[in-house]
Amino acid sequence: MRRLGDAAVVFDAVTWQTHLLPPAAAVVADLIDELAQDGPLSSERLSRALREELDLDSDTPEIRELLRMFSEIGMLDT
Amino acid sequence: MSSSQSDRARQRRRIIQAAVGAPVVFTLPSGAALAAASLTCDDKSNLIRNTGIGGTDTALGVEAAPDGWVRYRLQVYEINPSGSGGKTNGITFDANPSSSSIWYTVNLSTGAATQVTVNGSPSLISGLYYYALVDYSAYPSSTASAYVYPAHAPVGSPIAGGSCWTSLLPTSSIGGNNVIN
Repeated sequence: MRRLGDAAVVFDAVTWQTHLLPPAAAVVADLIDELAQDGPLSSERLSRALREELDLDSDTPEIRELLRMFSEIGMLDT
Repeated sequence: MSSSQSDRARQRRRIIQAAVGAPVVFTLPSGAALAAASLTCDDKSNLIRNTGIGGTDTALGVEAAPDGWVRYRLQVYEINPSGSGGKTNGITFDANPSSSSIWYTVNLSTGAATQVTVNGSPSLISGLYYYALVDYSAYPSSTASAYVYPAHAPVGSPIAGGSCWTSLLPTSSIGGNNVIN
């Protein structure tokens, strides 16, 4: 993941796709990255961190979709 | 939580709140797909060759009508070749036909142009043209006769299409079609 100011760009070397993360998505990606350094990331732990750190509810359609996209591009493994 | 951690959390929340709508991930168009859609000149030429868009699988040196290949348009004249037994159609590359000494008759079945000596003064046939195939590798020579194919055999690798030609010679313009003059 490369930073572009507050945004980020992710290049998937497997699919050769490039993904652009606007600042809000980049913040979530950063959090996921930090949490993953402590070991496998459970859905519960991620939900709690999103709520406590970013005031985001992982149970909303928008956040579920965001997390699904992160899983699809290999940035989230829960 | 340390002050730096709380500062970071505060900054992150600020970014989240500043966002218009929910966080999303944008996937840019695939470079591979774009590359596949952007055929090279050689591929475009192959396409014309294989589908016969130009009318034939290979390009003849001279055609009676423009086709998919890059062509040079030549005005047709009525000429009287020496020893031929009568008038026929012919072309010259000379910009001043009245003083030209190099004329060609064209076999439109084979696309071959044969140099002839003409008697008398050729007369222009209004609105009638032949289209000579352009040899990309020889272009831009100073004279059209040096970069067209009045060949006897069909040509296997001409360059096709206006945009293709322009991409190879970016300073040239052929008006969106395949005729360079």
